[in-house]
Amino acid sequence: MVNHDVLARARRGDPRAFEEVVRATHRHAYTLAFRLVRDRQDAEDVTQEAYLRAFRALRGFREDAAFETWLYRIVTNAAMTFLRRRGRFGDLAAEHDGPPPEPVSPERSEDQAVDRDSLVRALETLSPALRSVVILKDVYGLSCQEIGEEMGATEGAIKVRLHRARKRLRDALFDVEADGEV
Amino acid sequence: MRCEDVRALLPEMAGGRLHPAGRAEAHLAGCAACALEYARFRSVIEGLGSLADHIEEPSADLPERIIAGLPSGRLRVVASRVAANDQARVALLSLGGAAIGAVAVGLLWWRRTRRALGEATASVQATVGTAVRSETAV
Repeated sequence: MVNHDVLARARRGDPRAFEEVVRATHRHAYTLAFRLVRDRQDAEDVTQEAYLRAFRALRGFREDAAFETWLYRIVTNAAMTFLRRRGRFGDLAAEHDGPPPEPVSPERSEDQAVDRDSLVRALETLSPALRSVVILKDVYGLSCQEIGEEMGATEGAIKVRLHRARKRLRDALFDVEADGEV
Repeated sequence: MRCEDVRALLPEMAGGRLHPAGRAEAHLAGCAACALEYARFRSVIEGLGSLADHIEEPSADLPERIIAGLPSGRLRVVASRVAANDQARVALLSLGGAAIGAVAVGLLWWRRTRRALGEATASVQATVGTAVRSETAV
């Protein structure tokens, strides 16, 4: 969490205060960038770009949202720009989300707990567009409207993607055949 | 409600709050298979939520690179590196000392040259003055 006083000084243009903000938040910003772009060097580039954007936009930050949420939105926007530039994002409006995921731990059909490693592997089976939506909503708590604004899609499109992403994760983590689909 | 209708709602239901009076919730209360499915979706979403506490570690110098990339951030990063690094501090102090020494030597050289030039000029003026006086006498 960023100290309120430090944030206030950074908003007034104090570069040393902004450096404190960077040191306090960069690991979380990098983690989100890495989860979205899936490459360490690319994630560091995205994080750098995000802080440059944040520095320029900080005066306009209104404290009606948590600073971290505001920063996560900027990281997301920078990551989307990066993925689109690299041609790795695809078309958000496209119906095709790739082949169904391979189960990553089908033996879990009797066990409800989901361990972190299996979940991370299951996330990697999703297309970047689906993965981004489910990470931003279920890991970082952004609203579908906020995600849509950063990804350039309608709230409705984001809800559809979220539904598909959760379904695919469920299929990857639990044995679909074990109890039979209705 | 039929099982297939309820199951279509489960990904969204699992991410929000249940409504005790809802029809789908009433179905879950009486259908073990759908309740199991609901529990699985809840498990996925809770697992995703727990990822928020897990940090991926970036390179140790990432904050400095971020700061160096900001407007007017470069000089500050160089200064803080020098302050934190003994070798760099010694090198910078040596460089500063060498610069001060060079300036001092330059000043001494300039004063000597100036004095020598002054003496030469006075000597020339004295010689010229003597010659002019001799010609006038002649």
